[in-house]
Amino acid sequence: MSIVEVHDVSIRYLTGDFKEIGIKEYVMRKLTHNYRVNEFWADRHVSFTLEKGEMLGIIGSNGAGKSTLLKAIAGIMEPTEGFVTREGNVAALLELASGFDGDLTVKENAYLRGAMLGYTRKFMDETYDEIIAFAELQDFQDRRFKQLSSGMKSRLAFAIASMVQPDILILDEVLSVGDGAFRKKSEAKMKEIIAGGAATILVSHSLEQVRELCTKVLWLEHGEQIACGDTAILCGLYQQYLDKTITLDQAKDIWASLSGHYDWLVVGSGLYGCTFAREMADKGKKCLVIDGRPWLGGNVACEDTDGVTVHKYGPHIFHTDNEEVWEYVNRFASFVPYDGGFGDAHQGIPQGGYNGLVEGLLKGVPAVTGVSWQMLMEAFPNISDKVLYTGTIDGFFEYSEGHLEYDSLKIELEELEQKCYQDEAVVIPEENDEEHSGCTRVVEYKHFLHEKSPKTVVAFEYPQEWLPGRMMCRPVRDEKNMALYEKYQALAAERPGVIFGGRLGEYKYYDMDDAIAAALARAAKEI
Amino acid sequence: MKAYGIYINVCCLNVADNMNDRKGLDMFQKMKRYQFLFEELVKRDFKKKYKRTILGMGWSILAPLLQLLVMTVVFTRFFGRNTPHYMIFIFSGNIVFSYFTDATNGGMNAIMGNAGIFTKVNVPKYLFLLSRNVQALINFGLILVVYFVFVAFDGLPFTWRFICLLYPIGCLILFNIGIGMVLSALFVFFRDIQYLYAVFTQLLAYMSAIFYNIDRYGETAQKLFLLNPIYLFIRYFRKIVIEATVPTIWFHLLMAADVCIALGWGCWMYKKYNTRFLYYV
Repeated sequence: MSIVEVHDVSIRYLTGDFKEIGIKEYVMRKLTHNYRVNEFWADRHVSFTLEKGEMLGIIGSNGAGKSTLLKAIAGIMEPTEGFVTREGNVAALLELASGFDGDLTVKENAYLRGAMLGYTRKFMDETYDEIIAFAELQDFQDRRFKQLSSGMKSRLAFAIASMVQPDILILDEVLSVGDGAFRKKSEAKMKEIIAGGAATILVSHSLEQVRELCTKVLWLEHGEQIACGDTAILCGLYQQYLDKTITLDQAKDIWASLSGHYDWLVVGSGLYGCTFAREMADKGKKCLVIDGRPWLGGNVACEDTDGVTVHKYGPHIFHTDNEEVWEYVNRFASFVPYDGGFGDAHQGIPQGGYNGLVEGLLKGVPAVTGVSWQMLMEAFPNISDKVLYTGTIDGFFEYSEGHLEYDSLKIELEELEQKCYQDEAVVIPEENDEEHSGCTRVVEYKHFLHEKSPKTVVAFEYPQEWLPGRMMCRPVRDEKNMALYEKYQALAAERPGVIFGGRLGEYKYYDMDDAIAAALARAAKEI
Repeated sequence: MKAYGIYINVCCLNVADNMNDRKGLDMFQKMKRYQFLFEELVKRDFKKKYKRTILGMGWSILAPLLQLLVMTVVFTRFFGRNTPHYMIFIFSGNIVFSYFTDATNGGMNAIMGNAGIFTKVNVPKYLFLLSRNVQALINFGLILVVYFVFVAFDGLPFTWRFICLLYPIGCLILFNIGIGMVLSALFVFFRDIQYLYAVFTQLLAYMSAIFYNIDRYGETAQKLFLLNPIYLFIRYFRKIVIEATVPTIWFHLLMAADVCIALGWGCWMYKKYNTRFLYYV
């Protein structure tokens, strides 16, 4: 049985007129029917269970109902609906420094607090010295409490509350107690308690702390349970929500889609992955697309900057002689012709950038951003029957054989307060061009789609040595790298449920049209 | 290590206790579990009351004695002529009445004054009230000793009937707890209560025949005095100490009924609003 079970708990909170009004006002308002009590649900239908040794992090914006929920778990408040069961003794550390009496001495307060927490006098007599030593208040024992600094107060509170090994430990923003040295000590103590088998519940605004400590996460917003489950994924979603890259409803949809089971999991949302997912979905297969980056489209992703559609990873000009591919992409986007020189039958940029094309390809296919393959496997290892992996093949095997190498370049974007920087979209500077010395290409994005913004965005590209973590362009594919790639292929052969595709998965350069053609062929083969 | 075991024990009991909360089980069993907290609360309330006073608890004795002195000097002329042992007569009224006001006024703030605690730790809220009552009771005990000294000086005989005083004292303790519960709950909802109650106690002081004898009123008016519980307690003391007679069984029952009403009302208030206090503080 779980140590803590919170079952469909709803807590109705009261606010409104009743506070701070006297009897006269009360009677007057009652008589004139102006007496209002606002009831609102601080928590609504919250459910989770917690086992021994687990640590639950509760995240959510201010007013999400976190503290109210903690009070219900601690038994200070009764849930309006639902119930909470607790197996064992509870130590709740809520708003630590309050609840002390300023007129009493440190020692008296320590005993009083110990008594409140349910300790015995004997226990307090025996541990008092230890408590004072831990709180580093040896020289202040007979001071009156109000003379202490707030850091000292919190230290004492923490020291008293952490003196025992509770079965259930409830912490409300308390790990950030005191100065750096004490914080270390208190975190160590906390970990000791958790390691001792306590079930811990932590409310923290530090996402870092939650990521580091918690084994699972409960996400509340406006009292509503958004999700409860894997720490890495939910912290990632919450961060995206805070960054306003996804809405709450999207977060809920994402969480719901992660809880399903799929025929195909497509890792990476570049053109290869998206095309493959489209084809599978059209054949009635259930697909889920994930991308470790917080956006869809991989390297073709675009971004609106001052009304200019900027390609995040350098200019992407779609050009093809393949009629089948050209027809295919035109199903999802209309293209603005490009007059530059590739000499192909069809050349252009999708109206509004590549994001529209990606959205079209993924229409009706659940796609999750900010969730990496590793994160997903940790949380939902059995989410799909098969996997298409379009990330780096060496990354998939955690670089066990070494890093495959790529060409790289450095792009410096500049937003300029002028209408136009150059006449063409893409200009390769002359060798004697001193203004652009070292620069291999200058791209002014507004020309691609003939955008009318009063400002302009220009990208200056410089050659750059590739190092792990830097932008990956073309696979190097020399003898050494190909030998390495073969080793990875051999490893991949031992993973029958996973196929590798695309530029990074196959360690092979694809133009965009080639990537789509390859994905179409792959999909046809896999059906 | 041993203490550790005990602590775990206590905590297990606490959890069981949480369940009992719902079933509304034995208050006294609970009190035993919270004994340490209770002791600490009483200590705290005591220290706070007498902090930075030179005489400390001496005030608890000195204040009523001064009051007694003034009342005796002022009123003997008007009311004391037909009342034997007039000083003891007033003293009987004073100790009962001051214990009552002391306990209830202290109790009124019991919930509000401890909001910082019960919003953060799960403790039974009546502990705060009981702690205040213990403090008032100790004061009362001290003055009671002085009272008996005065009784002896006044030449009144100590008879076996004095044992009967345990009855009104016990009743008064419970009565004060009940009224304290009502007041402390009301005070959470309406802060006006403290002013209303101040006025009320002043009126009550005049209506409780502390310094006058009700013999001069007609029979019906005299019966009306019996509706005042405080008068009952005072009357009981005077009967035993001055008149050396034990009141009738009906008198006892009437007092018991008053106590039941006060305590019942208080418990009902706590039961009903226990979970709502949190919203108002």
